[in-house]
Amino acid sequence: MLQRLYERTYAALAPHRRAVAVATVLALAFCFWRAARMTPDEDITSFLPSGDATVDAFRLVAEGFHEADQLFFDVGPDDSAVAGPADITAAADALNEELEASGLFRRVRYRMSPEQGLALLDWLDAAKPALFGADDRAALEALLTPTAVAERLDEARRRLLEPEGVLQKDMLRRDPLGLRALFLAKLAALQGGADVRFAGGRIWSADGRHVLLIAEPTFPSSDTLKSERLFAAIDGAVAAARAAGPAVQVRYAGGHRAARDNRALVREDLGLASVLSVVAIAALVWLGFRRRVLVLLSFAPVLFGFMSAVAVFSFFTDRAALVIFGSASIFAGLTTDYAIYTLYRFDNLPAGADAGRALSPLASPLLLGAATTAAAFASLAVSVLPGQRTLGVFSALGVMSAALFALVVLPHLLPAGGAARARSILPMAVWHARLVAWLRPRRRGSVAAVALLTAVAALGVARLRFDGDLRHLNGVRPETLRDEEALLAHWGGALASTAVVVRGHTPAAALARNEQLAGTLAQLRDTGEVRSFATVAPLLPSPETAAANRARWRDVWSESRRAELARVMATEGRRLGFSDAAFAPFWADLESMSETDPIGAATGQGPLAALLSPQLAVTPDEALVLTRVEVAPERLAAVTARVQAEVPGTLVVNGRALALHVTSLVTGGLVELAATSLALVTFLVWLFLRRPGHVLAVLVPVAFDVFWTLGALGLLGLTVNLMNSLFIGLVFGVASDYAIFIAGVLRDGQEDDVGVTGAAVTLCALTTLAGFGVLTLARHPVLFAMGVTSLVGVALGLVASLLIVPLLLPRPAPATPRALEEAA
Amino acid sequence: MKATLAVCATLIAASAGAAERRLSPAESESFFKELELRVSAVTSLEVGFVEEKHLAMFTDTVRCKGRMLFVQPDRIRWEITEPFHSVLVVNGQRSGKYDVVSGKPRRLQMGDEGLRTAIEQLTAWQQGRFRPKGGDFAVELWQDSSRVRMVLRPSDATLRRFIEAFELTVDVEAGRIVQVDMRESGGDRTTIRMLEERRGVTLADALFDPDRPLAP
Repeated sequence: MLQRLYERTYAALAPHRRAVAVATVLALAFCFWRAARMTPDEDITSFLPSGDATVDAFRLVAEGFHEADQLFFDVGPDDSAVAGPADITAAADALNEELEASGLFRRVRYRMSPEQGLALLDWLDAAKPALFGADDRAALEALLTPTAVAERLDEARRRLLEPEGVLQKDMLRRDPLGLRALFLAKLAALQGGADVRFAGGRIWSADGRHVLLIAEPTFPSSDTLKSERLFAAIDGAVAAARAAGPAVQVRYAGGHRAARDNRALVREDLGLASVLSVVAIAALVWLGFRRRVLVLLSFAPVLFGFMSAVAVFSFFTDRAALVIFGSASIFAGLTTDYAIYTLYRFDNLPAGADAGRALSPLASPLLLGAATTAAAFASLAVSVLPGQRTLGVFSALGVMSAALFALVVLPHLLPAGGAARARSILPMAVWHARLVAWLRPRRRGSVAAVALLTAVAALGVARLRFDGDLRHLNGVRPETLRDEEALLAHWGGALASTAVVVRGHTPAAALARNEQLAGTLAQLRDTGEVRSFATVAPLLPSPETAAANRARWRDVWSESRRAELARVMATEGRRLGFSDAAFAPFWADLESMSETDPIGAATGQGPLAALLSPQLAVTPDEALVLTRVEVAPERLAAVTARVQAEVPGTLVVNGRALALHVTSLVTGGLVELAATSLALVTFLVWLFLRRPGHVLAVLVPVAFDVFWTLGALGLLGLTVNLMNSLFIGLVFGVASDYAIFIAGVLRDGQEDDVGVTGAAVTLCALTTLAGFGVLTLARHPVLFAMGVTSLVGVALGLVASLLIVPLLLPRPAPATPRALEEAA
Repeated sequence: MKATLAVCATLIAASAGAAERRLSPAESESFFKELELRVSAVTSLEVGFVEEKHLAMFTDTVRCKGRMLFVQPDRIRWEITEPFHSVLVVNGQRSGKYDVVSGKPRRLQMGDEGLRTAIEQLTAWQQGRFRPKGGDFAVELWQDSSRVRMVLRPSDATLRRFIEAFELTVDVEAGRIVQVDMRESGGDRTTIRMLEERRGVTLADALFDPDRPLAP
C-alpha cells in the first residue's frame, strides 16, 4: 500500500520539479529566519533532573545564595614561595580594588575594612541584650566577681601602656571587664569549624599563606557578551595584583569561568567536528556513488531535517540547548542515511528505468527505519533529564522530517542524465554481495562470532559504572582545572561543606526554624555525627528569642548588681589610678538597655548585613537561612534524616550526595528509557512487518547491539553518564534501521537488491560512524561521551545486523559477485 | 653626611632664629632623604625609653620604662620593664607577645589589629621609612635650633578616631628620633622619650625568638 501511495505521490510531483525546488528553498529560508531568533543555552544545570526534591533543593540553594554565580579568588605565593603576608595582602588589595572598580560585580567579599569592623563592634555592643543567651549568663556572672573585676582593670591598665594602647583606649572605656568577648564568640559561630582564620579583616587559609576573595558578578554565567568584558576585567585585575605583590599568584574558579571554558570548548569541538564530519561523509558518498553531484544532495535531507526541527522549536522557546547543537554532527550522520538509501538506488538504476517505480520499494523500509529511530529518540521524552527530553523531541522531529524529505522531495531535485562513471570507486554492492556469499555457508562461524562477542561484552558489562557527577560533564581547560584544584586544596573545608537551609515566609519565621536546626546540629555535633557547623543563630535570634534574651539581660543587671559592681570598680579603679569617669561609656551602655533589632540590621545595608549575606537570603515572599555543616560522607544520610525529622522542610544540599542521587535517577531512568524505546520500536516493527519471524530478525540484532555496546564501554573504562546514557536508547533506533533494510531485502528483494541494499546499509553505517566518530576528537566531555558511545553502538549495530539477520532469515540466495559486476 | 645635616640645620636655624619654623617642601624633601639614609644604615639598635600617658582615664600621668631592640630589616623587641614586665617580639612574619609574671612568661593573643598596626608603624620608622606611602598621612616638618619635629596626621578617618597626629622629634645632628608624641582623641597624649641609644650593637638572635622571649 505504501508503495502504491509513493508511486502516486511521485507521479503527482514529477511534472512540477521547479516548483518543488522553489518551495524547498522558501521553506529553508523560513527555517533559518526562525533559527536566527534563538540563542544558545549553555547552562549545565539544565542537564539536571526536574521535578525531583533533591535537585530542586540544590537549585534553590544555588539560586537563592547565588552559589552558582560566584567567582572564588585565591591569592597566595607562586611556586617560588618567597611572597610573605605583606606581598599577599598588597596583591589582594589591588585585586579587590580593580574588581570593584570594574562595575561588573554586584559584590566582592574580601575584607572587612576597619570602619566596617568598628561599626560591627558598635552594633555588637548595642545588641548585647538581644544576643544574651541562656548559656551566656554563667560566663557573664563569672566576669563580675570582685576578683575578676580587679584582674580585668589591672589588665586594662597594662594594655593602655603597651604599644597598641592608643588604639585600645576607647574599647577599654566601653568594655573594661571584657564582656564583649562573650558576644564576639557568636561571630566565631559563623566560621564554624572551617579551616580558615580572620586577620586584618581578611579571610586567610589555615596555613596563613592564602587570602580568599569571593566576587559575585552582576549577571549570570550564561550571558556571553558580558562574560567577555568580565574576563577582560579579571585579567586586568590579576595583572594589577601581580604588579602589587611580586611572587604572588592569583587563582580563581567559579561558574562564569567554567561556562566560558565550556562555551569555548564546545565551539572549538563543534567547529572541527562539523567540518570533519561533512568532509568525511562527502568523501564516502563520493567514493560510493557514480554521480558526483549526489555528494551535495546527500546533505539536503540533513539540512532540511535539522532546520525544520529548529524552526518548530523556535515556536516554543527562544533558547537552544547545548545538546541540540552538540547533536548536529550526529544528526548529520544519522539522517544522511535516508538520502543515501534513496540516492544509492537512484545511482544504480538501469538507464531509462522509471524512477518512481524503482524507488517505491524503499518507502516501507525507509519510513519504518526513520520511525524506529524517531521512536528511539521520542522515548527520551520519558527521561528525568530535561536535556535528554529536549534532544529526544528535537531529534525525533528532525529525523522524520529528513526521512520524508529524502523520500518525497529529494527524488525531484535529482539531476537528469546518465552517470558520470560506469561504476563507483568503491563498488560496495559487489563487496557486500561477496561478504554475504562468504558468510552464507559459514552459519556456525557467524554463531560463534556472535557468541564470542557476547562473552567478551559480558566481561565489560560487569565493569560498567554509572557516573552522575555533574562536574564530570564540565568541559574546563587544564589551567582552570589546576586553579579549581588549588582552591579546593586551600579552602576545601570551607568551600565543600554541606548546605542546610531552612525557609520561612518571613525572616522571623525562618530564624525560628534556624534556631531549631542549630539545636539539632549542636546535639549531632556533641554525639560526633557532625564535625562542625557554621550558623547565624547565635548572632541572629528570632524575635521571640531576642525578647527572652533581653529579659534575661535585664534580670542579670538588676539595680543591686549594678550598684555593687560600681562600688567594686570604683575601689579597684582608684587603686590603679583610674579616674571616676574612666568607664563612663560602659555605664551608659548598661543604663540604655538597648532594644537593637538584629533582624533589621541583618536585612538592611550595614556591616551585619554584609557579613551575613552568604547565609541569609530574603525576598518579599520568602526568607532562607543557610547553615554550613561539615559532616562525614558516610554519616550524611543519617544526619539528613535526623535534621529533616526534627525540622521538617529543611533542605540539605551536598555535592557528592547530589551526584549519587542523580546517578540513582539515571540508573533507574535508563531501564525505563530502554523499555520505552524497545516497546516503541517493537510496536512499529510489528506494525510494518506483521510476521513474527521478521520482527525477531530486526529486534534480536538490536538487543545484541545494546548488550555489546554496554560491554564495550565497560571494557574501554568509560562510564555511562547523564549524556551518553541517552544513546543507549538511540542504538535501538539506528541498529534497527540496518536490520530492517537487510531483513526487508532478504524477505522480498530481488537477487540484485541484496548487494545494492547491503551496500547502501554499509555506506549509511560508515557515514553515521563518520558523523559520530569525529566527536571522539572532542575535548568537551559531553561531546566526547556522546561520540564514543554512538560510534561503538552504531559500529556494533552494523556488525549485529550483518551477522544475525541472515541467520534468522536465510533466504533468498544473493547474487554472485560476478553477476553484480556484470550488472554494474 | 652628618656634617651636611648639621650645616643644613645651622643655616636654617640662623636664618629663622630660635623660633620653630615650618620647612618648605624642598627643605622637607632634602631632610627626609638624609634622615632615611642615615636611619636605614643602622644595622642594629638598642635604646631605652620612658613612656608617659596623659589620659583623662587616669587621675595622674602614668609612666612606664623599658627598652627597644632592633635589627635590620624586621626584628624588633619592645620590652616594658617597669611598672610591670611585658615583651613583644617580632621576627619577620613571626611574632609573640608575653606578660612576664614572677619571672615566667605568659603568652598573649596576637590577633589584635591595633597591635599589628603599631608593629607595622614601628618597623617602618626603624627601617627609615618616614615618608608615608599612598597619602596615609599628611606630613609637616617644623624646625627649631637643633631638632626637627615631624608631624604626621592620619588621612584615614578610622585611625583619626584614635589619633589626631604622631609627632616624631628628630635630633638633626645625631640623625635619630629622640621622642615620639601621640596626640590622641579627647585631648589625651602619650609621649615616649628615647634614651641612651646605641647603634651597631651586637644583639643575640635569641632576643628575637618569638617563642622564647626570655631566652638568655
